[in-house]
Amino acid sequence: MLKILQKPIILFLITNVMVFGLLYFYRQPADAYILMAGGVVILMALMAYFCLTRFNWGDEYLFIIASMLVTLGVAMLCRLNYNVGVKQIIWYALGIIMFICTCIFFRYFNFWKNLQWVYFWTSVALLILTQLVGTTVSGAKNWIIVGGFSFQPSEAVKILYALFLASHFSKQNHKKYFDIPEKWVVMLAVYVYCAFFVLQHEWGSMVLFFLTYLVTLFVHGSSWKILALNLMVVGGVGWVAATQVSHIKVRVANWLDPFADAANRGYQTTQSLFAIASGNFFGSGIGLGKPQFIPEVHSDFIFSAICEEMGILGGCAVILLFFILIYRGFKIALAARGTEKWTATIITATFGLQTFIIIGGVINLIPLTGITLPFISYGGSSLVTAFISLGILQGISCKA
Amino acid sequence: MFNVLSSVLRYIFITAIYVFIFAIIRMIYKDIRGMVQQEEYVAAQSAPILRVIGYRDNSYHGPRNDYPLSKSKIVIGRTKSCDIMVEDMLVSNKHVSLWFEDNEWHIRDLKSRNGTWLNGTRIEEPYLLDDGDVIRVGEMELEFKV
Repeated sequence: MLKILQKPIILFLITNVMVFGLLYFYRQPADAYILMAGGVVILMALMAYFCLTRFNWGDEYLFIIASMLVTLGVAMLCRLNYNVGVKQIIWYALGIIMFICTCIFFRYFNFWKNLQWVYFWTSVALLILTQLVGTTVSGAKNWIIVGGFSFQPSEAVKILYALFLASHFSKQNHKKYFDIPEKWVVMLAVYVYCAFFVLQHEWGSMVLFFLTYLVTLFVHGSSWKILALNLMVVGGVGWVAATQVSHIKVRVANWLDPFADAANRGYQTTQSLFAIASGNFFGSGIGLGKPQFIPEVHSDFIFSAICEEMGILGGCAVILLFFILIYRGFKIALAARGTEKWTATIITATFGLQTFIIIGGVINLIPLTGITLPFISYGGSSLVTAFISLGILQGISCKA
Repeated sequence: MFNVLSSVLRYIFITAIYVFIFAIIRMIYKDIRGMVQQEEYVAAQSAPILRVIGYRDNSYHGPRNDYPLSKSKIVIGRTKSCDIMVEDMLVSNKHVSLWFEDNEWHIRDLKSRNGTWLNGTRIEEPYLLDDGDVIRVGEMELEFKV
């Protein structure tokens, strides 16, 4: 019996069966559809895991850790808003398919390594398209809606950006463009990305992209001059923004003292803090808390809902799961070579920074910027993109 | 019904997640330990060894084995933190160190109370080691073999 419990896949199965069993009783009258959807998704995850181990497709833990995170997310989402949760299950299924496809693609093809500027211009095209035909949802103009389907280009840009940086940093000899060394041109390109996100009022993505660039520069370690310059730019722009731009001034004020204006501007943060505090060690139990008072609880603030209903132990479990996921990512990066090494490093750094920015924001450790928690938050684009990134990591780990 | 189920299941749920995390960390640990042992094995195959060739007064009958120099710096002494631990009252806590630098093995006495002898002479400063050199630490004599 104890031997069986040492296998992660068995524990994954037990947790999933418990979650979907509990969700079956959540709705009155009980809805058999959730059992069916749950069964299909569990089967798909098991099949994907079986493929990974049977055919020796690299690291066997990445996928199962991510699936555990998605299970936690689905449990919370079905409880918060049933329709949203069911949609998330469909996105999860699509994510698993995309994961396997990406893994196979990155294992057997190599032409993706030298397309640096293709990635850049594709992402610029996507961002310009968002500016032209995008729709504004809760303050950020970052959605393209085509015939009932909504799509967030900034999520796809995240992968293109990782590949763009990876193909730059893995090069040995750098070219010159109009007599300017390539590293300065790439720095300019990063600023172009950030400028687009400023135009869209998507501060979270801007911070994420810029921090990823800084981390990569630091890991690469070749040009301390550029790193120092960028740190100075961060300091300067950050100070000006925090004291001059009204939008950001409000956020900094909220961060320093969310209770000063708890009914209006600080409402989101204070409700989130109340939710985390009321969770205690083991939480209220799924469906028994009151996380629906937090605005945006199903996307940005899902971590506080988890803390309220599964307790601080549940919240710590989420963070620990991210820890081991990122540990595995860096281990893959250490074993890989060339462009693959850099792709793995940058994707792992993006996961880590994204988790830190949003969990830090939700617990009021750093100023709040709206961004999704990878694998857990609701959002088709976000979940599928996270699975594609994971598929890239998996494909790279196959080769090492 | 649901309320009871949910409040009971939360404990099982959290336990299951933590056991899951623990199981994965355990697998990762075994993975890393396997890798380290493999590396140590490969290093031990090609590394020079210190062979115990005798004890001065034959009073001690402990293990007489070979110590592979599988790391680039090795300390011999009486404490557990040393790479080669010798239970001998004449040996200092950290007695002597051997290290690999510029493709050569070096030896240096770490200001031990009873000294280190190399081929019969007490050493005060660092020396290069050659194949077949005999090192005496306390009661024990070791031969350096490449």
